Amino acid sequence: MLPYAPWVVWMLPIIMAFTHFIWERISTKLRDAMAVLTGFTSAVFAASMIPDVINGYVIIDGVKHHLPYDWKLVTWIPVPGLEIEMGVLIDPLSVLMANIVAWISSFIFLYSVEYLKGDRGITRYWMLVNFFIGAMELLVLSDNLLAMFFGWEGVGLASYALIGYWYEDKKKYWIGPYPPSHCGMKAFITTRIGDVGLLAAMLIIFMYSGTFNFMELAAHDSWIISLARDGILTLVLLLIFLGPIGKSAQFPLHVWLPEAMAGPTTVSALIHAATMVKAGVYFVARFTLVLFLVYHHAGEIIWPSLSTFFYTVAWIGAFTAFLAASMGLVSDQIKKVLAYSTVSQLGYMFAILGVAGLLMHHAEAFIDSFLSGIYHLFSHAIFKALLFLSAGAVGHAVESYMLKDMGGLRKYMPKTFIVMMVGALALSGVPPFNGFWSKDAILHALYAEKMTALFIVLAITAVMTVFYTFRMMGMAFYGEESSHVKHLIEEGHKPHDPGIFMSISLWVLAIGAVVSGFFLPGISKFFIPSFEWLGIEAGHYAELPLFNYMSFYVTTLTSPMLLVSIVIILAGVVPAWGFYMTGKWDPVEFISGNPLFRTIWSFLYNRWFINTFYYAVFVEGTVQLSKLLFDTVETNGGGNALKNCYTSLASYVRRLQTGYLRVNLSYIALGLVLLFIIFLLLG
Amino acid sequence: MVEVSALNPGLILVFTAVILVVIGLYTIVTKKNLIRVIIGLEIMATGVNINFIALSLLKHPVLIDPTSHVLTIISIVLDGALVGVALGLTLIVYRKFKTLNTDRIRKLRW
Repeated sequence: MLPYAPWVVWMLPIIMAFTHFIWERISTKLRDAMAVLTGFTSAVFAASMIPDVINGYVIIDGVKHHLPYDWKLVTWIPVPGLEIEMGVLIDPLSVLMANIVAWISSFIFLYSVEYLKGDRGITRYWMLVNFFIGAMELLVLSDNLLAMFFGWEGVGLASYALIGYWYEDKKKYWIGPYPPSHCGMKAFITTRIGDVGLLAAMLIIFMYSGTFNFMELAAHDSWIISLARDGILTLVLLLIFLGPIGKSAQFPLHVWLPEAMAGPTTVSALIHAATMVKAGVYFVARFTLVLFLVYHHAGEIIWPSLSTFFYTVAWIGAFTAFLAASMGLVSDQIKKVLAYSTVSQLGYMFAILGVAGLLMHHAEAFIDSFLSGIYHLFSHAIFKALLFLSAGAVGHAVESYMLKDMGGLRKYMPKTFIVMMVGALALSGVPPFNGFWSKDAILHALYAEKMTALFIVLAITAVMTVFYTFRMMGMAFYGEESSHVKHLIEEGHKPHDPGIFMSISLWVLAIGAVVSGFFLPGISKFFIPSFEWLGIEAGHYAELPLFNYMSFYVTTLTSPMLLVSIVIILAGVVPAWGFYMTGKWDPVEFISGNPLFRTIWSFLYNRWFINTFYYAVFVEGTVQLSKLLFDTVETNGGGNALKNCYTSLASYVRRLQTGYLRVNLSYIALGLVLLFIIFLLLG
Repeated sequence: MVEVSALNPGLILVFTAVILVVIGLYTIVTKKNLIRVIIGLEIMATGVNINFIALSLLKHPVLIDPTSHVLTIISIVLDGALVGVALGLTLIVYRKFKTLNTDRIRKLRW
């Protein structure tokens, strides 16, 4: 480990965020270089922690500590009775997350150098994105709930500012019916609803346990037993889950993520692949580990609440996966398709983490499903970053994100087509790309643990995933050029592959999406220190296929699940092939010819009317209520009562202001004497 | 409450400070010339400064607390600056109103 690596990883980007305006004065190139360098330096520091996790110990100041190690450096809040220490937690989960965040965001930075060239607010952009990843690193590395919450809110703040990056609301940056600044606000407010729940739960836990520290929470069980005795444990756990629901855009707070596409595509890639939405998954995984240990101390008394909690997690995840995938089927913008697929894939992760929690009794099954979730988190980060960045390249070339403005781009952007196809294949779970191994691991775990209902929902979702992915690819790259593209070519703006910086990032991520699939059992071995900490004996997991390179791939490729995967892929690809890639069938005719399909299409296109419902109830409701109040109190019913009240009051009070200096000073003296008397009386 | 012996020099200083503040206040309230008002203000400020020292003596009759001395020095410097600003404002007031009589300068009223 490089010296102070976990501290540098999160502090460096935050500190550097506030220096970009200085570099800008010297040279804009220097500013861009500094921002990218910050990302990569932080990533190198993050990577330097990997060998320690593999060894299972860290050496700090010559002392050897076993993992997970809680490195406390300073007392953050030194109030007696509320001494909260600032620390970093070095354990497999935090180190893995820190690396995902740092490396992927670094490549996104490299890409942004070219992507945003010539934009007016680049200094602001660099400041915000560096702050964004700094906050995210704080979130994943901090050892206590409170510091994590600061990172959590920092991520929310930065995402608000970045989604509304084009705050001038020029028409060309609009995506859907709302201007970018509105979308930023929507994201901020929606996630805030979840954060309030998380904050409340945190404070309740603090009241009962007297600590925010994850390790201390896991080591003691008295807090959770008292919570269970008071009958509020279920409530607290569900409130905690409200935070991840908001942050990771799960039902019912999923509405903000499609609108979050209003920012620059690099921001979408950051939000979707590395930072922000992964925070919720990370937190649920972290809390599952804590609850695992607590459950094995406290015993059955807390199990009813825990099972409610994990059932909620699993089913909200599975339902969101289905919901979002169904919306993705009919989406008309390339970025929105990807946004829905993110929501959907996050649903997979929540579902499998919930299942992991439900299987706490059996260490083997717990590890199996927990690791599947982590696999998917890892591979999703890579292929989703790749997909977004290639979508950005496409949008950059054709100056539009509408799928109907694309078409036939394969000829003009062959390299972008290849990398995007890699991402698409990974997302749809086609072997040998990384998405296949991780999605298969999830389905495999669900099948092995007899979670049939969840399995069916997620398998159907997988079919839809394949379909909308290839629909998107077909509409963008296959078929005839749209009139928009033809118009561009006539004007001399022929769509072309991106330049060097964008290409480097795209190719690195594309190679990552292929290669990383073959390192997944490495992640299992990476997590051994965590399982040792949880007190699971090596005999329980060493034999699992997830821990063995050969047997993982052999089992995956020889199990009957492979057949299911093939059926899923074919069921998705064939209609997409017919409708969009070869153009054999006409989708418009197919839908409009049948009233049932038309209804379904309209239902899905309007996002199940959930968004409309929220606007009608919460936004319009608030507006109407305030109008009503204004009307009754101010103008009509009250007859300017409020105004008259204050005017008449003021007409008496204003006579105190005589303008004579000595009178004013006498008031001061009088006030002093009164104060003096009050102090004397109060002792 | 702080135990105070009659011989404590801090107590004498407190009385001095109170007397100075009262004299200053009296000057400000009764005098009509703006320059005199500023002089009254300065007398008051002196009283406050002495009060700082006095309180440090009251709290630690033996060990003298340097904090209040430091504060007093800062306060004296600030007083100097304050007089400068006040006299500057007086000049402007005189140019505008052609008088320094506070009874005639009555713009700050209802």
